[in-house]
Amino acid sequence: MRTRPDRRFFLLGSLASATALARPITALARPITARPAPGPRPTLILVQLTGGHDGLSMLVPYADDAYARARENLRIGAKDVLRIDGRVGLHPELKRLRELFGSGRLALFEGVGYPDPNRSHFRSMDIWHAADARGRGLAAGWIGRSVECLADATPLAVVHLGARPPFSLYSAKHAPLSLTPGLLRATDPARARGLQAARELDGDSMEGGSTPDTSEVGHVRQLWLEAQDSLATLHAALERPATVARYPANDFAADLRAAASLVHAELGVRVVSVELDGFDTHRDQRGRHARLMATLDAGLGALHADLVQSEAGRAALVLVFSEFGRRVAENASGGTDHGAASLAFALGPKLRGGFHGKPPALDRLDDGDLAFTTDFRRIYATCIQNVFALPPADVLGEGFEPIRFV
Amino acid sequence: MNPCPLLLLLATLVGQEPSAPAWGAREAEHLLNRAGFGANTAALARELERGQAATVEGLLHVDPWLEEPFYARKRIDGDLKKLLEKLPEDERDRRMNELRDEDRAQLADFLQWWVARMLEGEQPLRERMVLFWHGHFTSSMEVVKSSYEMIQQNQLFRRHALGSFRELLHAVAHDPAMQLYLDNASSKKAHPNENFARELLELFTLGEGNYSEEDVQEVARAFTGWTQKNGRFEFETRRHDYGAKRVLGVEGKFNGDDVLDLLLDQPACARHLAGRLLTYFEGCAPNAERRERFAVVLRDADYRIDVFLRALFLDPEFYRAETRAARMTSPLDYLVGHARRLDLDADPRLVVAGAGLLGQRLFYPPSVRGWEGGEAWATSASLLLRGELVGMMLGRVSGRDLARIAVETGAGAGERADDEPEDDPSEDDGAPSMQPEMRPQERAEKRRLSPELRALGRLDGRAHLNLTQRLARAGSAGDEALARALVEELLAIPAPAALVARVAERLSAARLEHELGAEPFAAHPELAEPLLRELAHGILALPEAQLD
Repeated sequence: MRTRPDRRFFLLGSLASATALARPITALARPITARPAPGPRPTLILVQLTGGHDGLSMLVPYADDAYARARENLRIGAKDVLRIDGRVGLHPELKRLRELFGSGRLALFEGVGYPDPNRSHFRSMDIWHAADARGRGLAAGWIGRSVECLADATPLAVVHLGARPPFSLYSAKHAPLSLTPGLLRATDPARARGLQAARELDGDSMEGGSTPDTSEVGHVRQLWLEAQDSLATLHAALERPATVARYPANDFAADLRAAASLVHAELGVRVVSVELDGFDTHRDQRGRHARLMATLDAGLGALHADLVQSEAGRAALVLVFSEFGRRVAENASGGTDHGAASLAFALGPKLRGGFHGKPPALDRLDDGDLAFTTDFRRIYATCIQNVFALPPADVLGEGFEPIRFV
Repeated sequence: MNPCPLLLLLATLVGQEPSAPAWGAREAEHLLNRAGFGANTAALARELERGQAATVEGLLHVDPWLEEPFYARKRIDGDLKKLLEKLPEDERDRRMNELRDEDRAQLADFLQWWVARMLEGEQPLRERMVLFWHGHFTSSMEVVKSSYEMIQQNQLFRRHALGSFRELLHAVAHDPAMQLYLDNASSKKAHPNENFARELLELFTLGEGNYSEEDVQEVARAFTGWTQKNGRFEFETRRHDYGAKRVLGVEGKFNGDDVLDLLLDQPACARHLAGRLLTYFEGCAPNAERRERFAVVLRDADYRIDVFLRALFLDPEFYRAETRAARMTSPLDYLVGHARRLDLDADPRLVVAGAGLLGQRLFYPPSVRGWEGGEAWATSASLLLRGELVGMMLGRVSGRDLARIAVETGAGAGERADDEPEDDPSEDDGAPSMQPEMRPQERAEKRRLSPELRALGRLDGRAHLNLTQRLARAGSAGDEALARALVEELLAIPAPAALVARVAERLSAARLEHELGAEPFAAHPELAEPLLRELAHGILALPEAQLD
């Protein structure tokens, strides 16, 4: 028994009507040859900084007295920051990001957050993933909901590099592919022993063709065959020799390299998600945060250098976020506790770099935390519009004006 | 229901009472798949013999003393944690790690105990309902962060598994894990937390569209002051809002219990629960008529779950052709079901980790809605991994092989090794907040391999199984008969003829190759066993084995 029509037919129908509504009649009447050349579709690379990132230590308001007072031990001084202007500078480890800023490839969003900030890791991350205060009360995350609206989404549309896909990617209709870094041999159709034994016995898939099997078994067989195709494709793409860009030797960089490989291979991957953990710096923040910044800088720098090498790569957009920032005042253990608004940033060969939105005021805090000046969903809105070519309201609801950074 | 005269006539013609539901091998297998976790052919034959009514009664019978109990002892004590905070850093870290390891060990012990109940327990329907309630009244370790409360909640589900939903609902609202999971533990008169109230209305009782936003707010007020301390329910009178509330059009100075009874009185509540139960057991959402019919059963029985299930399992429509053999199995149904059909003495650790790897991680539901079920289980990677996990149960794949990385991309995680996460002790009011902290070594591994893969990597994948003997006992001498016996034994659905033919071909080919002549395979176990296991492995990795 099938309760759901075939995914692709269903989505094809929904997109046809959505674009028809969105496009003026003249555009519909235009002859096909007048359309822009169908280049590779843009990919979104999501980088999650898990644990609550101290944005103030990444984009440092070195000239602000309030900052100096609140961060007596942790502050990074005017002579150490990589100066951007008279107000702020980047953390000293962020040399490659500083260069990207200089060439207009790094977009910075200060004071990103949402109303009634939640200071629990799990809850706040849920809110970011769902793009909604209800968090997991929703049936799907914001990427999941976006991909459900895409007519041409393949089973490879959403890939997470890591053990567990975040809720943002979740959608019952379109489950994300989750790949352990480096890939499990067991998911390679050429190596899976159960699959090999099964293929010897599966007559139907070879004989079939004339009469489509509409039974539930036939449907699962279809998914099973699709899975073999997608996984074989992914394994082939990731096992190809590395690109010329030099990545540092750590897991985060390995994930970014895999992400770039998937983009270059133009497999229909629309979203790749990776994670860098360790930002929950309640104590001894200075050294630990500096090491994280070095990892982040080297990894993202290599990623950008890699992306520019293909047309598909040049169409990609990298978005870096965290579930919340940290308290403005440092604590007694040389660290900082959970805060509210924080820094998000994006990079990519084609985006409009620079500052977007208003910096939060350090002298007008909300219960000891930065009050948000930009709702994070406005950044999502831009991604939904430019990466997925969807009306943002279809995914986020009304009221989130895209920010023009692409 | 009055049978229509024409049907009566037809029934007389074919010599069958219309009210007596057919009870054949297919029906017996369908019932044991859905109400239990599947059964082997011998058990199916027994139930077929006993008849439908006796089988259903057997499933519904609960004997709490039949099984060895599990007592959760250790809990991460909030007070103890506060004391530890005062210790010097090294000492504190050491003690915290100990606590955390103990908690993790207790959690693992319990999950093994639970899965063993599914694998070989004698009350499969009860365990089936425990699993259902875990998905209905979700709570997650991710938030609760302490195994004790989660285990207590699970035992609560077991106590009320087939009893009264009314009693269960009241108990769940008082349950410490639920208090923590949906934040009611920190709900006070001045700032009512609506999380529990919302899910109570939307997911636990009425369903979407049967209440308003104001109802959510008013219900939240009624539950203020309900909290927990050290794993026990507490009512903090000072935090409770004693004022009048207006819920679903009724006004009164309601407390939480009053609200629950008010909700249970709503026809929408029985309808919602009947819909959830029918969807779960039949594998597809019921039409409005069918849902209403069973909502009435629930209401008339004052929410007795056993009465509901008896009516369902005796209903001929439960056995209708389009629901049989048409449900994509959950990971637990797949692993536990095939272990039971093969009489495999499967390692519960393998099942716990395997189901987790495939997306059904017990105690960690993906959202407050629980697991989606059905086709959502058919994700690309999991369709392939199912075959590898069942290979471990058959002794053909080792845990080390399964957890092996295909492409080594990273060199290591040196720079992250000392970035231990910490937790803000002031977070999560009322919660025994215990962020899972990790040692450097573990942390380096963490992202590379999920806990499930690490657990699987430690298992050897040896099978306690003798397929040759088992099939010889079934009296299958000829290759065709042997093939049929194998496929029937393995699948939860009727054996497809084409598959039986292919398996028979493989057997005949092996017979030729090894020049066995007319000898039974059972005479050559050294040849037969690996071959039969390979065939079994292939069969269980096929799409046909993913359904029940």
